[in-house]
Amino acid sequence: MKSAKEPVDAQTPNAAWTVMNNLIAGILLYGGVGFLIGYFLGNTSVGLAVGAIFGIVASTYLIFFRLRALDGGHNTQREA
Amino acid sequence: MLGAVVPMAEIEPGCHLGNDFGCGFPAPDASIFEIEPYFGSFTKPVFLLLLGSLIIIIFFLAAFRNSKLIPGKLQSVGEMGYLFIRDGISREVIGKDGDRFVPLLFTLFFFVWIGNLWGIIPGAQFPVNSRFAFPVGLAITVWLIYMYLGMRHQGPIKFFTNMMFPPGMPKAIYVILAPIELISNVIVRPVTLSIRLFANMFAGHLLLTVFTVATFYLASLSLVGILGSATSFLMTIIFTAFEALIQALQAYIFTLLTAVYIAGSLHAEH
Repeated sequence: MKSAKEPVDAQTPNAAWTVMNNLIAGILLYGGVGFLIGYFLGNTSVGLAVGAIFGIVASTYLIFFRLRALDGGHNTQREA
Repeated sequence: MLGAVVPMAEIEPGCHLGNDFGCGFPAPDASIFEIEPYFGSFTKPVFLLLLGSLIIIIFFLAAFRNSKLIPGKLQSVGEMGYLFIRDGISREVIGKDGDRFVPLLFTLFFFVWIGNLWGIIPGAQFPVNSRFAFPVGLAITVWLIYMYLGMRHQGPIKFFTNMMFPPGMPKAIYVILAPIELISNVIVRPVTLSIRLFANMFAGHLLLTVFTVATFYLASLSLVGILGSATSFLMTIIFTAFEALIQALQAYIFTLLTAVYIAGSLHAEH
């Protein structure tokens, strides 16, 4: 096994779980923010729903951005 | 032997396909994970955990105590395990300077693996990591390590700003995305790390128990009984083999992700 020849290979499970983590974080964060806004405006369920959907959109953009960078050959792990 | 998965008292003596006491299939639920302690809070998982640690210690002591240039059988197996972690995980993910983390990753891999492996070892048949506290303890350890390393190698504030602001994004977007990065790296990471290991072991043990109980429940002298019981028994065997794969895989993923997190703490993303 040659070391550090196919770094993208080891990155794949990490990328997969980063997607998961980002989605959870986005939904939790903006769902929470939406819930709070809704609480002050008088309708928590609408606030929660709108916030959670916004969170999904935001984290999907983040995931798209990061995976494109990973795919573009900019390997983050390679030694300088 | 396979019956040891379920304490025999769990199966109501009356509940069986062959007799007619009006009770159905005693589907196993989360209560099979509630085990009476031997004494105090010393339960079977704790015992298996300690025994597993002892086995690892003894095995690798025996393998490496009289290291020879031309390794014997035991030493070959030990070296294979070591090289798998060093070349397959540490150098692949962290690089050459990851060699000082090999002892940690090595210990983590074999500790998690033997904890899982107890799930299919006859007589023990309980995966230690299906009790949530064990994966949580491991994940907290990993969390402390990568947070400490990140703050030490990148600086206590730089570590968080590097994490939150991956370079090359439109500036306005950062306001929305930086908090997601922070929460996902600091809070969600250890949560998914522990839940993934726990849920895999929990589900696997439950699955094996369902088919084992079904083997006993259906066993009777009728067409349904014989066919159903035989099929359930076959499924138990198949899923035991499947579990063996999952257990090694989960230990590997846990170690690999730990290495990735350490690598992320050592070098900021460019």
